[in-house]
Amino acid sequence: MSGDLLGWWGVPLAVLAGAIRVSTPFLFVSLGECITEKSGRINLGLEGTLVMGAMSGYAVSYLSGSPWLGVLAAGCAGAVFGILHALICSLPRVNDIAVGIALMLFGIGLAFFLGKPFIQPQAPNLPSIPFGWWSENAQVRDALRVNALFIIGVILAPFLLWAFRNTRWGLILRTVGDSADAALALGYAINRVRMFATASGGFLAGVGGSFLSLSYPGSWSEGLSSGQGITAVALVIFARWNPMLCFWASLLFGGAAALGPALQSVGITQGYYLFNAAPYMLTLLIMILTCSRDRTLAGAPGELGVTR
Amino acid sequence: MVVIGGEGALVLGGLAASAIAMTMPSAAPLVVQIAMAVAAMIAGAAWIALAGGLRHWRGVNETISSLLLVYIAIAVFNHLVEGLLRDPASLNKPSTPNIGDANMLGTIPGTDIHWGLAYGIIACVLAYILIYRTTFGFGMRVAGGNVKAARMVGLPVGRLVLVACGLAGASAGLAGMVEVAAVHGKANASLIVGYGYTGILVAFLARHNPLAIIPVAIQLGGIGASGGLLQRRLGLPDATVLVLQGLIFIAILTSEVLYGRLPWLKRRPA
Repeated sequence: MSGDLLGWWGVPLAVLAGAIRVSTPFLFVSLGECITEKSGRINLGLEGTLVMGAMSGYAVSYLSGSPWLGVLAAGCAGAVFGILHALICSLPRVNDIAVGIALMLFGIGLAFFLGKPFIQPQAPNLPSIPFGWWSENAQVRDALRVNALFIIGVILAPFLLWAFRNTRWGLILRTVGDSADAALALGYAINRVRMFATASGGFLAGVGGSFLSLSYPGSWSEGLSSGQGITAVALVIFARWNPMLCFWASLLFGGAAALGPALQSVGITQGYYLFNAAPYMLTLLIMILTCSRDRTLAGAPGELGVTR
Repeated sequence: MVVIGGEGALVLGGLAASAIAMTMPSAAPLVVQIAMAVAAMIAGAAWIALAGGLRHWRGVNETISSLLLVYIAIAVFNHLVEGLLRDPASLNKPSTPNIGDANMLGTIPGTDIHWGLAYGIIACVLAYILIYRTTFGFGMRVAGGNVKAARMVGLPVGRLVLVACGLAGASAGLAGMVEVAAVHGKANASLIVGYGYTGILVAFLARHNPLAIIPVAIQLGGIGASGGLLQRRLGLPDATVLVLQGLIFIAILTSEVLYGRLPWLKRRPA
């Protein structure tokens, strides 16, 4: 029972483990939203995309027996939602924030509708890689079982940062996001670039959703997502549209979300529900501290509706 | 401004209403009902005005902050219902104590409809008068149409935003009070079923005209109520209603394109 000997040290350990575990959906959704927002559009529907991804990932994993196929299916479902958002928004006079809210309702509804038969059965989950093999302590080993998707996310964040800065695609994307007029003058098809950006954003959000149903908590239920999609959208603003900062912010949020259960495990149950809201309070607090009414945020894409 | 935090104001309004009813066990029913309505409206107003204030003073995007506030409101609600305000008798489903049968809103004589409907219609008419028939409403519409123009002509944009948010929150809070006082009789998790989100859909469907809200809200209430019927008769899951609502919402937003293209669809001057 060496696990119990940790006592109070179990709290920071659990927070660390939680940070890695809980942050993965945050990470994927915020990276996806980062791509979308760089192109000058905001997709609030990622909450719906996330739930839809969780459902389709779980369903395909259950039916095919392969969790990676499930991840792919989740991504494709997310991409379809992204394309839908992009198509509707490319019509004149359509508000992208309102469409996002509509797609959020629609995505959640559709996922619940189609997901009913998959609440009971157990689908194969994604594998975890044990990084804690060196330790004798069960708690440490448990904390360091890192999921493969998290590692993909860790690689993806610096790659996106590099791609935004150093590739032709990244430059086109940023041009479209910063000034649609300039992009038009250069001869780029703005709507096509935005469609591509929103679709890839949706794909990543769908993959983030599949993490929820295939790794942690690891099953499909209707209460699976509690606003991760929306928090991730706020997180992109906090991370200043920088993929690497998105990664650190996701870790911070994962840690905040894990604080409540971690404290509960050492016997502090007072204010359990309030600790559950810690990520949201933290987001709000950070947004209050970092926003200003007098200037737009540094690094904000010029075409973005939220900062105008 | 697009604020999607009505759910939080509704939840807190319901909680405030049941909390205030707890503190006055022996007062006359009418007094209790008025106190409940006022408490719910203050709680809701403060909650949404917070989002408006953050927007005004700190430039925090109100759509996102209000949505975050929903989750915080639900956490506060759960914390209080599980702890301080919990009725010891409610074992499986934590609730606040019953507000008492005498304090419930009754039904309109001759029908099954509770008085909440009257509250709603009065609120719609008041909102219409406020928005289209007063100087304040005019200022609000100018600020909503173009903030720079509003500042230029010297309108107090900050105050307008705060008051508008406060009123919006107050009506959402009142909805929470009606739910508690007419349907549940106490505040518990059944309050959190997404009326706040359906309300956004209603507002968009009604094209932001308070008078149009009355038929649209009744229509959507009907769709919501049909969920049970769909489940029993056709064996469809209850999420059907959500899918339908999402589809309606998307269709309405997309139809924005048709303005000016069809002869009978003309944009009304704001």
